Amino acid sequence: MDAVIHAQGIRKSYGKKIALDNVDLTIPAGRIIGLIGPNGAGKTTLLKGILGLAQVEGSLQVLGLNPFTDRVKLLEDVSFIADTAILPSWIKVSEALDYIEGVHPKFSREKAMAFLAKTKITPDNKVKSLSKGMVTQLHLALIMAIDSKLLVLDEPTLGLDIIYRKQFYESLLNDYYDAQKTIVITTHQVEEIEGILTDLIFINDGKILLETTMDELPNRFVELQVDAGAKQAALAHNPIHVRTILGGFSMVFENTDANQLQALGKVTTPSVADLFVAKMQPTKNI
Amino acid sequence: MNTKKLLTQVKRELWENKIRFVYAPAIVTAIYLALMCFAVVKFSLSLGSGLMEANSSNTISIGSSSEGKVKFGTGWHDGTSVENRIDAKAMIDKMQTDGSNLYDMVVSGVTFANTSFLAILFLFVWLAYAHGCLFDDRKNKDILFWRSLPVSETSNVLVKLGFLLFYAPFVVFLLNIVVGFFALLGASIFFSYHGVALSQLLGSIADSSTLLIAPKIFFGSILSSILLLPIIGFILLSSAWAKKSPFLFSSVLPVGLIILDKISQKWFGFNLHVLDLLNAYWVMLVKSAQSFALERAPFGNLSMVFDVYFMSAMLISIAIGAAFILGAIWLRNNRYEI
Repeated sequence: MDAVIHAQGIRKSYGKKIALDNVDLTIPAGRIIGLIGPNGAGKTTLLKGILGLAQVEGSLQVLGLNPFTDRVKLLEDVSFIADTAILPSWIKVSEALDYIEGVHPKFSREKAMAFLAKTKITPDNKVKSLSKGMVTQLHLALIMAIDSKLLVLDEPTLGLDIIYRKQFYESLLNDYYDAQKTIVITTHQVEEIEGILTDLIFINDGKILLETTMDELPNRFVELQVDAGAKQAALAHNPIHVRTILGGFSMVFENTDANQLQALGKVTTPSVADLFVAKMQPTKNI
Repeated sequence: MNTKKLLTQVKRELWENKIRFVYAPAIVTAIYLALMCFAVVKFSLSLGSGLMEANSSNTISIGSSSEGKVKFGTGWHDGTSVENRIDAKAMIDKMQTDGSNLYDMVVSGVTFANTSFLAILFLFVWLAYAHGCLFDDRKNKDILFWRSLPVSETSNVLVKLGFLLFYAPFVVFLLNIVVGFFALLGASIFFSYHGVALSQLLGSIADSSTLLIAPKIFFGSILSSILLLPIIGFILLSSAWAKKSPFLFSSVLPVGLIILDKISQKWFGFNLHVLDLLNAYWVMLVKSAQSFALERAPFGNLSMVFDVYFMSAMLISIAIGAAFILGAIWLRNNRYEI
């Protein structure tokens, strides 16, 4: 099976609150997937299911394994960063290296040291003495030194300044990613990951709203900027979202022929952020 | 389980609990050794200056004989008489003929005192560690890091259990060997300086069970740990279960059950048997402790240690403890809060 993650009809609920509602998902190898959704959409629950941290109903296979029952075996090929600040504060950098080297068969200490050599972090440093950005660098160095097939990043740059965020994604692309590795990233800072994604998944209320490749995006979605005079003509093409902009309106269309819209105004491919808003908010009649 | 993985997990526990597990017992023993050395030096100086007079009447005074033999005894502060004096060399001879040994006295006294200090220390270390070991990582969110690595919760909990069962006895054993060595060395120097022949001292060591004192304490501690397995298991379960305070969790439940049992018996005449069970457990602990008491020499007469009552107590303790520990492992695997 080529799919790294294969989910069929997965469900998860907490009391009456449904966190995942019959989610179907197939993620092939060698992709960088952005899993985007508002707070409480079910992103983290989905990731926890994928990582075997939560049991979900339905069929879920990651690298051909049941993540809940085969968690330990699975984690030899799957790495994740759940949050930037979760490294234990008492641990020394050298101890963290020793520990991962001792328990992970695919960890390369040399690689980790090479990553750390580019930072100001030394083996004698304790995590609690590092800044938040340095903790992220350390965590990234530890995780990137693992030769895993799937890397899951849940809000990896939360709370970091722009410089660290840029460095983070640069390292990810330049030093880690290759055609054999799959990366799943969730973040609210959609604009920052747009350039590195190969695939996009939108999730809301526990349901997948959109699953597409970035290559497909221009063919499937069109953004049209029109002035007030062309508004009614544009609305006739049934946009999925309309918003007011300076001097007119911006409309997002799905599966609409861009050639038909070009006569009405400026046609572009919507950004991931605009598309996200368009898919999350119902169409407003202005 | 992979040995490299297991050793790494053991190292992690030591790194995480360096102060509790390494520094604190070492410091306690170092202080104890320092005090012991100070006492020996002061004692020797007192002997060197002749008869040491006590400040109050009817307390111990120590003198040295003209033959260069150490004498112990009681006397009066005016120094007019020293009663019940015992010649150190004669005491060794006497003890050897009686089957007892001066070295046993010195080393066991010193070792048991060290063990007592360490036992008090480890009681607190043990309680703090047992309550925190499956709770702190959830509280600090470290658990997301640990669980991102291919280590099962079963091995994680069992390593921590191993520390609770074996670490304190092992460290006490090592430190007792150190302390015992210094006690032997100190006693040998002291007595040979005061005229006892070295050959007699060496013979005395060979004839005694001095060298078995530390292993005996180790053996007894391990057996005690196994008998305490129900308590250890319950605290581990509390540590894995509690959302806010494992200490409160592990205290409130038994106390609540005791109160409930008392109320039930007093007001409704219905016995819930909670108190009976706790009483039975306490009796079992006391009886079992007696059965492997050091006087009965676990290495001398194993049949007294492994009698039917003791073995039953061990098996019951292991079964109850195992149930709690399985509960703790289940909670670690299935709890959705991280």
